[in-house]
Amino acid sequence: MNRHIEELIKLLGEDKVSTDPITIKLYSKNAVYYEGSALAAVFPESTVDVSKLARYAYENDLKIYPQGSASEIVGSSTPREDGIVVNFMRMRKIKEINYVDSYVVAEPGVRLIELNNVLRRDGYMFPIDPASIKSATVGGAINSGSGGMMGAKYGTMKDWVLGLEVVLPDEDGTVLRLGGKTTKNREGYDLIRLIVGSEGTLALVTESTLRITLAPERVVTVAGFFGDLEDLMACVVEIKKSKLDVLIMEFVDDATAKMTVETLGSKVVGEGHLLITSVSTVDEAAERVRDALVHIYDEAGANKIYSALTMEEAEDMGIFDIRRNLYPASIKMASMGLRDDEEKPYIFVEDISVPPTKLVEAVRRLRNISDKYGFPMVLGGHVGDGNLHPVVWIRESERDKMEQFNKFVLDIMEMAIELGGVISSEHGIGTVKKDGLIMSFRSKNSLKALRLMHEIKKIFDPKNILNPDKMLPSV
Amino acid sequence: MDGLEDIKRDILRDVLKCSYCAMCEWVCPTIDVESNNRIYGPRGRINLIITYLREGIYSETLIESIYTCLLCMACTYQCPAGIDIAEDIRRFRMILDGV
Repeated sequence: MNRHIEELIKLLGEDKVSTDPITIKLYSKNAVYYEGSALAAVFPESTVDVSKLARYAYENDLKIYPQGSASEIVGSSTPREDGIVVNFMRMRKIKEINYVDSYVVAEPGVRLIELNNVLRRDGYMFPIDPASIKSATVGGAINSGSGGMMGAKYGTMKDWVLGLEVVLPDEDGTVLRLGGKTTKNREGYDLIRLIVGSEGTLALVTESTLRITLAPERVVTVAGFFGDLEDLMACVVEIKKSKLDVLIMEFVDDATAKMTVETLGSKVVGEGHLLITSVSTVDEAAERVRDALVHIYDEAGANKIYSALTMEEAEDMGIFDIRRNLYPASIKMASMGLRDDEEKPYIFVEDISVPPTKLVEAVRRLRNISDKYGFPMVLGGHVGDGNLHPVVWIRESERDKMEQFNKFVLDIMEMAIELGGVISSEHGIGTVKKDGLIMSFRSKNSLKALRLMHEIKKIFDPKNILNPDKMLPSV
Repeated sequence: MDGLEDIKRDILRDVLKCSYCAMCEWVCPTIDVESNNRIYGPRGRINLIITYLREGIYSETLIESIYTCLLCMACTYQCPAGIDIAEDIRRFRMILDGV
């Protein structure tokens, strides 16, 4: 047995360390088919466990690859054979809920859906709602800097973390408590927001204090199809000018909407690009808000309009189905016409953002890029904040086209930069977008920012043992 | 009636749609029995089936994983890729029984 494993078993106990190859294999994959390897899979159950682990790893130059549910799609959670994968799914207690002070204290392995199921019973919510809400954990969402459908109103994870308990990969396995339980906090540099979105490269998150908010009393939803993308954007602009409290504003392009309806079916059907808008309001104003929204859609030229006065009604009508089915539809499309049954499609969900006023141009250019390379693409996104998710795929048998495929993805990122946007909005960099990160900072003549990030990494993790080679490209 | 090879092919065609998204795990009644171990959840089971059917990897872990499933179908309704998870596990047991 590897000497590290023997020592880790002594430190943590046999039931927290697995060397079973099949278990390691299952903990070495992520949600876009990246597969690594590891010496062992380790399952800490407390901050003390994590601290012991960090101290041992520092003293023995052992790499640590932290992960939650591994539902990320950029390679930030996959381990390598030179270290151990540390999975936080056994640390999943909600330790405190305080509605008066509007916070919860949660361990990193709590799933976002579990947190929300508890809060919703009392009329509250944690508003970060990535598409992976059923699998994403609090720790994973913190490290990925996650966002979601309600991002236009509520922002991303960085806006909702009040406090963190973290363990540093140093000689003491130092436990740091940062921030607290108040919304206002000006205690020196903002280390919390440095760690949020750091993809497990700076510190191991063992507990977090998260801000919570009231769930909307009523959510009114309107969906409509537009033959012309400019009409759809005119509708977006009018909704933004109308002073409605927009909660969700989602977009699916015409080809994707059509393909999704044809492959998976939908109760909501129409010709053209789909725009879905949900507005937060109160019971008494629901019908007035619905009528105002429908009027805006109608004036902007929507050819088919659906509306729902409650979220339950919207779900019953299937208003969100086309948007939610973007990923399953991609899997279905990618799996159609496979040359043999054992071929697997590799699906990539891009994550660019452009200023919302540039969305029409971004969509046009995305389609041109897709045509240029001949790779299929489905397209949707969070139009309220300009975050687009082109979904593209390649099959196992097309590995010879991988170079072309990578150029295709780089062209998408380059286009976002040219339009004043970013190459990653809520998914992160991981191992797959490092080139894009260089491209982005170079375009701003700011490559020194990446060197600063490397220096920050060295301060937190002097031996480079924490999720090494993730996020930061060499410069 | 389909032969075992046909069943294997059908199962593989279905399980290969798994993208490892984990949307199935939160409803699984067995994953928490062993401290939230992926082996005892639908994502783990589906991927162990893939490794068996593609690479022939057979182990005690595989047997424990596949035969601890309750076939309750809670996961099947969660899968965004439409994998018929419980049915695939049920039919995979036929293959294991024939080993």
